[in-house]
Amino acid sequence: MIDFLQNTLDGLALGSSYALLALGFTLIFGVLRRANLAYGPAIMLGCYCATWAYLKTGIGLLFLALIAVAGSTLAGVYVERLCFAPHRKGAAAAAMVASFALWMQFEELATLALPRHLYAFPALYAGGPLSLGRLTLRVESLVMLVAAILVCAALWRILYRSRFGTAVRAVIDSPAAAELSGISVSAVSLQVFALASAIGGLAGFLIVSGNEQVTPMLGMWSTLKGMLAMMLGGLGSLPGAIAGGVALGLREAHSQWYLGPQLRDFIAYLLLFVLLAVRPPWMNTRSAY
Amino acid sequence: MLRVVDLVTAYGKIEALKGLSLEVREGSITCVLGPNGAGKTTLMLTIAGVLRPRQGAIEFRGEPIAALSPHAIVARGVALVPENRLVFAHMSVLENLHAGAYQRKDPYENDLEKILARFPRLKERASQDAGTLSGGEQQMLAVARALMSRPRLLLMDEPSLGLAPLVVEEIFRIIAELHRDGTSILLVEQNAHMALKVAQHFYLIEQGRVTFSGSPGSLAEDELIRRAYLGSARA
Amino acid sequence: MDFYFGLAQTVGIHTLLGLSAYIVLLTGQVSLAQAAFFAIGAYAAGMLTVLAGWHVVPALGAGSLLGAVTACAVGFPALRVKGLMLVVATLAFGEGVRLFFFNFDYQVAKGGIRVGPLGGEGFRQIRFFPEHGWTTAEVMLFIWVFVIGVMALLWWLDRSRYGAVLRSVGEDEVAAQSVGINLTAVKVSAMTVGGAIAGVGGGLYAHYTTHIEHANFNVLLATFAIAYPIVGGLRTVFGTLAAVIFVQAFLVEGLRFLGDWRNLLFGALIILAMNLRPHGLFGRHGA
Repeated sequence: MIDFLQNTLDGLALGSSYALLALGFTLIFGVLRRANLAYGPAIMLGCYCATWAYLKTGIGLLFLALIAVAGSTLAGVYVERLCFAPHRKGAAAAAMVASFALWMQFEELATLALPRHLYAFPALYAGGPLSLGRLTLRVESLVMLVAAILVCAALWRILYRSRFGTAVRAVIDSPAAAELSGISVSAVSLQVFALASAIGGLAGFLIVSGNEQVTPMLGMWSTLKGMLAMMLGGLGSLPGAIAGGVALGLREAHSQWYLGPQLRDFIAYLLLFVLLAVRPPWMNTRSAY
Repeated sequence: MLRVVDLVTAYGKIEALKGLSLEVREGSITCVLGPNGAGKTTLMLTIAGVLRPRQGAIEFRGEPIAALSPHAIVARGVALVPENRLVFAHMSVLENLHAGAYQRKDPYENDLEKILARFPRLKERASQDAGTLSGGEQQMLAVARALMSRPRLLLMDEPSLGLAPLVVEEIFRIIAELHRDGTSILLVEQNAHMALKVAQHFYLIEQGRVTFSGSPGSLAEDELIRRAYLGSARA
Repeated sequence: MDFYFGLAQTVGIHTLLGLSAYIVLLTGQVSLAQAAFFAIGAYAAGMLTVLAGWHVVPALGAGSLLGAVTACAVGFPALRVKGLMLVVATLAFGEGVRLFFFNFDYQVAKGGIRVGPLGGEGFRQIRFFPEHGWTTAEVMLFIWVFVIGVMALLWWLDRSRYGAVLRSVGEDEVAAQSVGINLTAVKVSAMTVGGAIAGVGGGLYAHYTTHIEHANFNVLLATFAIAYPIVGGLRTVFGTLAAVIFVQAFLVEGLRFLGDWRNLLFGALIILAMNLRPHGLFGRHGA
């Protein structure tokens, strides 16, 4: 029982990092209806900027977080302008291939700047884990959880209580009607991309400082986990993205305990495949937020 | 106010507009009649910037607008109520109206009040999702949303299509009211009988060209209606 | 000279990979599972020549068959979904297969050494070609026999009634269905043919590199598979070949003198190609 509870706690923490990644993904997918393969690599590049700054100057964590967020945002804007702005109408496959090309560019840039496969990243918190009776919780996980909740609350406010949010939801609902209402779809897409990449950058920073290391694999990893969590929660729904991220984290933590890390991922993908193919009813709805 | 000169719009190799010219005068209701497939909707979408013309010019208050995107055209004071209504189905009625005022920098609460007063049905359903409204209500919402941008020229594409006669009457009452308040209107309408009652000027278009224009009464109404529905080729 | 033969081998195998995605793309489906079928063909053919002592030709046939069967089995459930859902479903399947091979051990002692797949270590010593004394040129020719055969087959299919049916499904599913085309049958058959082609390609790949491991068959390879036909355009099979030459010969080899900066330019050129010609280098004009 205590193992089950501990696994659930670990899963929740893992899941909140997935939830953050999925939120960014969902925003982009909602506005563009396109798969952005370069989402994770943009986050990776932001984290590499932070690592580079850390190695060169040794500045503090807060600055590193800012650099990671700013770097991811810039990379995200670069992706939007090059891959998605030119293909707003049709040619979804071309946009996807283009985002793949940028993925390769980002990985190359990262390895050019920092050629080793693995770099240490300063820890978010130097002390040991908290203990709650017989359960333990890493402080990093707690920070992740709190960050996920705060980001959700902020996003909700932006989307439902601001002029910009009205425009974003209008574009998600119908890009054609949004243009005819005087909303520039191009400008909104760019802004949403920047916002989503900033959230991704924050998630990336929390993940690498929690793991205390950074590798170029972070890019592919973020794209995969974010996309899977988004799918699990039903496409294009923000609460769904959070639920999907948490579900993915819980499932991974539990199956890791029972099956070990390798089989865990194998089962995970097969399960996801079956789930997508069978398509339970909640995944059919494309209700926007 | 609006001048369209020698407009050519094509879908691939097929030209839907083949050198069409027309004019809308300030403060008037101008009506475009014509049979199905004559290019009426294409004309509206081209003026609103959704479609790019292959050739020709569109001038609004002396400024060329043919190369602008739809949101920039809205900012200059031309709003389209599209044929298929296109409301934001997952947003509330009120949010739809806020979206319509997106590019306005001035406070628009007064306008919102006025518009809700003009459309009492919408006021009743202000917090309801637009997707749950009836066809007539969605049409009202589309008109109201376009009005939120405070257009100088309102483009209306078949506002009565598929609506019950009572609702059609209400739509035309609103068109007449808007006109009285000084909005210029370019109206595409299948219901020629209703349209000719409110319009000061009309254009008959067939196969992408203007084949007749004048004021109501300059052509016998039955002849006009026949051509509007059937086209002259088959007459 | 060997350098060029080696390059021709790479181009040939990547062309097979691209063509396996080409036929699926004709029906309007984007599948990221092609690398998985490729992996299945590679492991199956490799095991048959190394462990069972088969000749390479029947081993390739068996790998191809296994690829086709898997693709058919995947096709039925997966093709119920479309668009991004399909991309992710096939991506999940592909990753699942890769992780399967990551955990897959089947070793047999042969002549004092243990051979066969060994999980994360990979599958070494697939030495059919060197053991039978094939030169690089012969291997290259062998590979190209398959490439030309598959291209001819697809070229012919494209011109047949079946090709027209595939394309009509890709253009407009509702219209295709309304003229009596069975969408599931068409999509699953395209997937199956794609799986067979990927299986052959994988088998050839295993034998010419002699060492395969799960990491060879990751998302990157799956994305390359769909990138070739999309960059080349879906008008003919030659578009895919041209895209492979453009990418593998020109971008990967030709830009080698740029050293580390190669991939940056590589990315930029792909972007340029996609933005100037969204329907591929040899696709139809316009947007």
